[in-house]
Amino acid sequence: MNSSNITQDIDIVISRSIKKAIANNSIESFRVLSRFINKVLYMNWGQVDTRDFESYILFPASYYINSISQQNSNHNFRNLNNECAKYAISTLKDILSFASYKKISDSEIELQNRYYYIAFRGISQLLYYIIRNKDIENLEIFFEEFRPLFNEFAENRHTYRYNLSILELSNANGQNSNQINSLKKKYETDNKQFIYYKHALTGAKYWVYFLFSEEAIDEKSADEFIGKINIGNYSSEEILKDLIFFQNNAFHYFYWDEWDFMERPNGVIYHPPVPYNWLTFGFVANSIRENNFFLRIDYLDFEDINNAQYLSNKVIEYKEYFKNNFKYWSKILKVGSLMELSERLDKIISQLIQLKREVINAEEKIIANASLNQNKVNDFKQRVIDKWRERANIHKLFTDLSAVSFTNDETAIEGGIKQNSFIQNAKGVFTDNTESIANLGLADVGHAIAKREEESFFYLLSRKKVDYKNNDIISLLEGGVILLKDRSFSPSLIFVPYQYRFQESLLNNLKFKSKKQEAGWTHTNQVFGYYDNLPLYAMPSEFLSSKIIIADFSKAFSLVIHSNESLPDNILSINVRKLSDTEATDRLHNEVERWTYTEDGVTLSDDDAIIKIKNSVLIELKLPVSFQLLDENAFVIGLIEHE
Amino acid sequence: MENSHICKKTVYLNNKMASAFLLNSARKVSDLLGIKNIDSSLRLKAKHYIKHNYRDLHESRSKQLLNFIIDRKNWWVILFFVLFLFFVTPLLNTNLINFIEIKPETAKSIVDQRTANFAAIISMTLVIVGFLINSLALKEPNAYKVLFKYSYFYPIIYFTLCTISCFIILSTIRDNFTSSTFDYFSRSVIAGTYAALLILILIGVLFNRILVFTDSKQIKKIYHEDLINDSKKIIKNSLLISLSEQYYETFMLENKISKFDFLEGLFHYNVSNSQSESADISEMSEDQFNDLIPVQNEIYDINLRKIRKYIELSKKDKSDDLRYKSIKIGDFMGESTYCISPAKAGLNSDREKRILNNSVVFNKNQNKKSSLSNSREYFDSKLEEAVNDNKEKDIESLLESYLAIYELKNKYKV
Repeated sequence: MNSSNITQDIDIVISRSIKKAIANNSIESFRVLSRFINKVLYMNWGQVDTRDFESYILFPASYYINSISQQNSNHNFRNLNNECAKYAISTLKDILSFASYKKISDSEIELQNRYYYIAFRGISQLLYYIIRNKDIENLEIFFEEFRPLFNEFAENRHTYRYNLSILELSNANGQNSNQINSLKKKYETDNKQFIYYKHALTGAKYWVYFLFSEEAIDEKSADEFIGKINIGNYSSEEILKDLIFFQNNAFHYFYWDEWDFMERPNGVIYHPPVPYNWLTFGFVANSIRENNFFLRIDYLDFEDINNAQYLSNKVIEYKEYFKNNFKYWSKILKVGSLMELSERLDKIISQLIQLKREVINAEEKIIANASLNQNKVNDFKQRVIDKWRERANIHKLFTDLSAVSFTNDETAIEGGIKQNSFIQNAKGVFTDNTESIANLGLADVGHAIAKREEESFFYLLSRKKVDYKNNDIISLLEGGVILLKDRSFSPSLIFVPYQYRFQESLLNNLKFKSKKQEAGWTHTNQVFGYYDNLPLYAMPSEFLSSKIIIADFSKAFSLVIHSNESLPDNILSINVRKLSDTEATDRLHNEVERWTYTEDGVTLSDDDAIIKIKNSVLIELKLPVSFQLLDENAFVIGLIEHE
Repeated sequence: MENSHICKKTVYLNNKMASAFLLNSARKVSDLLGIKNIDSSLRLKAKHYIKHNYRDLHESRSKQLLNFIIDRKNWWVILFFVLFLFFVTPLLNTNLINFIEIKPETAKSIVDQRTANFAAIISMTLVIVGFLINSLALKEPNAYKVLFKYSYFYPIIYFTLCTISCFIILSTIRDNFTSSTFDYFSRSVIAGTYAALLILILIGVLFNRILVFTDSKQIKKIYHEDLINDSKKIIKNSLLISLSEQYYETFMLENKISKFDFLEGLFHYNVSNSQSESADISEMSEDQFNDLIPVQNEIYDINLRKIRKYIELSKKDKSDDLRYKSIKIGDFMGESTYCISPAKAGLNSDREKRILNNSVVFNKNQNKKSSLSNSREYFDSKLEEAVNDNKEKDIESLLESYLAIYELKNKYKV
């Protein structure tokens, strides 16, 4: 015996037998078989292996639709059809009642919830067939039968909400938070059946809207169905949360992906309606009809808000559709005029756009009030120092040539070199809830201060008058050296504009010796060669464009460092700080437009704008140095004249 | 040339079938008697567990023996028994036979009479059986099948026929007995007489059991029992399979062997091991092609002692880790596939191959049964028939049996 499943294929035999019994119009045979189905369902509820239950729970829906198709071809089947509908509804109801009275231990809850889900899948499938068959009569029976059970669900929910609100009322200092959380969690796991029930009915209701949009159901039936499928009173947040849940799970949830309203055409690529689309459509249509969509954003989780961002765009899309088909929809949506429709839609859209804005705020609120993580700040500081060292060429030149002096007098450095950066939206980088700062390139401020240091030196020189001019670089070099020597200084280096690294007349000159062949030379090295044995520095400074400077360096310039120590390891001071409230308010007043208007055309309130400002960070860098000209005769400046 | 080839092949196949048959029979007998060592046989180990933990599923040894005897295919057991009774017990010269004294002439006439008596009894029995079967409450193929099984028809008829044959032989060779061997002859006749008396009782049992089949309710009850027994066998089998897998994994874990990982295997795959370099492209006949397809056989048992020996040997010889392939009873595996091999080289030495070849026992005589048992198939077809004829009561009783299967399934959680 190869089989390992002793019940293998029994369900297939039963399915064939039921079909046969229905085809034979044999009520008695049908009853016997359907009683058997009930027994198997009871027997298998709670078993670890859910396969049998899963296949049997779909029987009620399947024999219901089977009998309908028989009745459509032959009216003698009326009694059998009634019997099938009655049995289908009562079987599903009985199994749920049976489950609700079954005592289970805590460890079995998860399994029990799985069974509830499967059971509601059967119910959802039956509803789908009832709607497909426009069988309003049996829909009424369905709700009649299920009412006590649904009422019980509602009662449980009521008790839960009552307990929850009591706890929440006395939770001013957060002393009940743990209790609230555990209550919520317990309710969610213990009352999964209620959630499935809500979802199954919501899906069915939204499906009717979709069918109507596809003209697969007439206005009267659609109106009746929508009216009859009463989910209960839920807040807009709960409805929205469900939609978000469907968005993330809908594809195979309740077999919705298999729901269809037409025969599959032959030879054409075709797929049934996508659940996510019709569920969203149904949500919009239902919100217009009910006209009670009022979101309290505080009741939504950050994650929910994040997931709902797309919604406003979707509704804007549907707005056009509903407006264009106003006449067709007016009765179903219960709107008297186009204006009323637009108003209702705008109300929904404005709330959903609000949600979009809230998306930014919910995250920002946390960051705005958070303090900086010192480890992250320190890590950042080290990166900035590394970046500064990488580019601090002029600083290195001064230290290498010992053209450095130290002073205790702070005024001697005239405030030093500063670089203050106000970086918008960067605060998150330094708070606990975000990841690495490595990729954001913020540490490039280190490069910026190095550049500034370099510029301040060349700026100093750019203000000095040009000693001589020529249109040929070689003549300039020759002339400059002679001039400096005439002044009794011996030139020690030459600064040339960056682009002269590639000047052919220079590179081909016999007095030029390239440094590129030397070991250890890289492109970042500023010295690219020697002219007449004087090192040539190519500096990428704006202030040095078209100018060459030949200097007796240590006699001409000095770098004054305000420090007590003779050779400090690091003189760059870095301060990363958040904005104070007053600073934020000041910024808002200075730049009202910048902070209050968003790209989406939403105007932020002052409070929200301040939160946005407070998401920025201030990075203050300071180099306590200044450059001094020791002797103006110790260097010459030559201007390259362009022909 | 071709003919001789076919001839050889047929002879080869016949030999193979015969040896497989004998092997299987021997295996059943040894299973029945519990000869094998529980430490070495995975099957026995699993069976032992089932025996002690699922008592309802386990049949007593006498029941197993009875089932073995009443199986139509096991006619040879009865034949051996009768031959033993007629020709071996007289040699034993036991008091059980000796206390009756028979003179040579009497013995000779008894032999002749018995043969005639038996001919009459057999014909009468067959007529009555035929008549009873004719008046069966449910006339359908399955009813006959169950009837023959339930009434012990086959073993009784086999026993009777074998006894007659022995009497005929004795009667034919009676004049060959000399005064020295006459005692042996008379003891054989007495032994045969005992067998004859036993036959009378057995015929009574046969009538009694066949009579049950004139009542349809009783037949249905037997059907139901049959279905439950078949289901229990399937449950037992699936328990055996899952337990064998569990034991096998634990065994490997105890011996610190890791499971074969496909990616790791791919990583260590040595191209030089494959014969791709010397690949020879030529047209292939259908026979050649069929020969290339590895024969997959069902695993009947796994000898853990041999595998342990392999592991010890391998650990001594190589530094390479071993990897095992997950197998269980009932799996299909090629004979040249090894359930355990070194991780890197993936090759076993000839000696190791020999040990491994003997470590997995295959069931070569497996017949391709449908996945459903006969009784289930019968119930399935009966239900549809009953629905077709709108027989609610029949439907109900058939469904009761299905419910019992669901109950069993939930009870044993398989």
